[in-house]
Amino acid sequence: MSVLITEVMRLRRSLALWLVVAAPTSLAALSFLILLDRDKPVAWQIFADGTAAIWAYLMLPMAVTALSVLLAQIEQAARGWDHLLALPGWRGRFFAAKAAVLVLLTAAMSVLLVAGTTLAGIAADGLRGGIVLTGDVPAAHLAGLIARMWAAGSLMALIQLWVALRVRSFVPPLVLGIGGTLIGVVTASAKQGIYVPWLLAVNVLSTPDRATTAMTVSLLGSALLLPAMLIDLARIERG
Amino acid sequence: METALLAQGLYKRYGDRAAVDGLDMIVPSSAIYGFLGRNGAGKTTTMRMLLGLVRPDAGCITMAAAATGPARIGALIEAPTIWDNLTGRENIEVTRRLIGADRGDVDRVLAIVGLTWAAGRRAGGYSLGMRQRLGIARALVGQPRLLLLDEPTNGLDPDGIADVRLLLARLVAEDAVTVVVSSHQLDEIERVATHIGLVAAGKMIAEGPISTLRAGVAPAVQVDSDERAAAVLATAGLTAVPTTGEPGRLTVDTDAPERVAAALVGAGCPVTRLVRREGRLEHLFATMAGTTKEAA
Repeated sequence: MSVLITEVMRLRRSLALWLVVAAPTSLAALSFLILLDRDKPVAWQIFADGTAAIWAYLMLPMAVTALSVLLAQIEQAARGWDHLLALPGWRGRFFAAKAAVLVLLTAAMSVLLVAGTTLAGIAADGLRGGIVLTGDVPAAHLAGLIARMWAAGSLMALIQLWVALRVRSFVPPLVLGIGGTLIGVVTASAKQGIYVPWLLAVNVLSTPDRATTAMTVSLLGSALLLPAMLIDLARIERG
Repeated sequence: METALLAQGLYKRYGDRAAVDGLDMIVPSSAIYGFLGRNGAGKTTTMRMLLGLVRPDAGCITMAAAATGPARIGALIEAPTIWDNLTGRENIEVTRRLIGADRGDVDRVLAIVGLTWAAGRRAGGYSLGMRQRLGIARALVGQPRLLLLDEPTNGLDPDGIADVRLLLARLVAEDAVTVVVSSHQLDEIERVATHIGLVAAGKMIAEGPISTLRAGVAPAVQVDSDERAAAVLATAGLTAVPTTGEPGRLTVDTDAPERVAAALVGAGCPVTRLVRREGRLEHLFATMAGTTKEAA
């Protein structure tokens, strides 16, 4: 537990925390501006699904990429591994804590997105005199959707974190994240897209079968990948 | 005397180069062990192997400290670990929590290195010397029985270097801590070490109590004179070489200052300074490292 607590401590005043706030709120702000500019009314659920789609296609993979790089660079820049890995005990616990923090921060971003999108809709609709959004606020629907996207994005997050922790430079994980996001956009409608980790969150918006498959692939893949990642990273020499 | 750390046949190869080549090391308990060698001699790789950061290709390491007490080794390897976004106190608090040390340990170690006044400031704004002090403070958390310090005086001003010397001596005297301190500054370590290990090209070329090693080094005479001095001394059968880093000063290979004075004054050379120096490790190191180089 102390490993996880100190992992969270090391985030104080870091860019990672700013990113957790900035990524979802910038998307909520964008949705707000779009609504203000809209001529015709739109159903609340369509508005919520549209925001969630942008999140799944672009913001989630890009934010996860940046977040995993920042979490890794906290140690690279501080020479943290020299200290942490020289402490007695299993080295893998430090990498497990990194994975846990990434999962928690992604969850926090998801919560902020749900709250931000809801507030953006209510505020824009209020400013426009209640003519922009129709129907009830689909808070539960949006929360469920974003939560499923969070779960479906776990495999991508783990892959990004593994690469970010594996190499000293921040360039390879960034290239992987940007490349993965682009491949996700290109293969979105392809049959094979169901297995692309950067596209699994998008599949949550698809048919129920495809959404269930995406969640299963992601969670099973994560369960298999995590121990492999911990074993691999614990063996690396820090010379 | 009990052994705190024993390394046998340590070997580590990077590509086709052996960074550490069959190195043996015996560090007695409560010693200040100066691990000395030039840059690239294999000191840091050895320290990293001792800490488990690098796996040796061959050899074994036994540490008495790991099996007793708080089961912890304090270490500072090359540049200190410092999270710039945290304050000095938060930096130490991270280590305290990870090793389960007492809460009071944070203030204790900050006071030892003289950083209490800056403990609430973000470490990103620390000077090089303050960062080095913070690194040493981190190594002291949990009152380790064995301290591994790699070039701990890097970036410190003369006062800071003197403070580190005093600190090491105090830790050994009061807490019976064993200290392994690596450095390429032989003079600096010579002043504080009780034992010395000299490493060159990845091999231990000399090891033992400092008094024993010093006894094997011939004393010399240092003299300040004019440019004719070396030639004059040569005609008197004395070998004089310029003293490294001290322009205008000659080191003469003899323990008889009166011979040097007589030769120079007899030839009309002014003698403005004449000192008999005890045997220095620098001489031993230069001799042995040269021998190793030739053998290689």
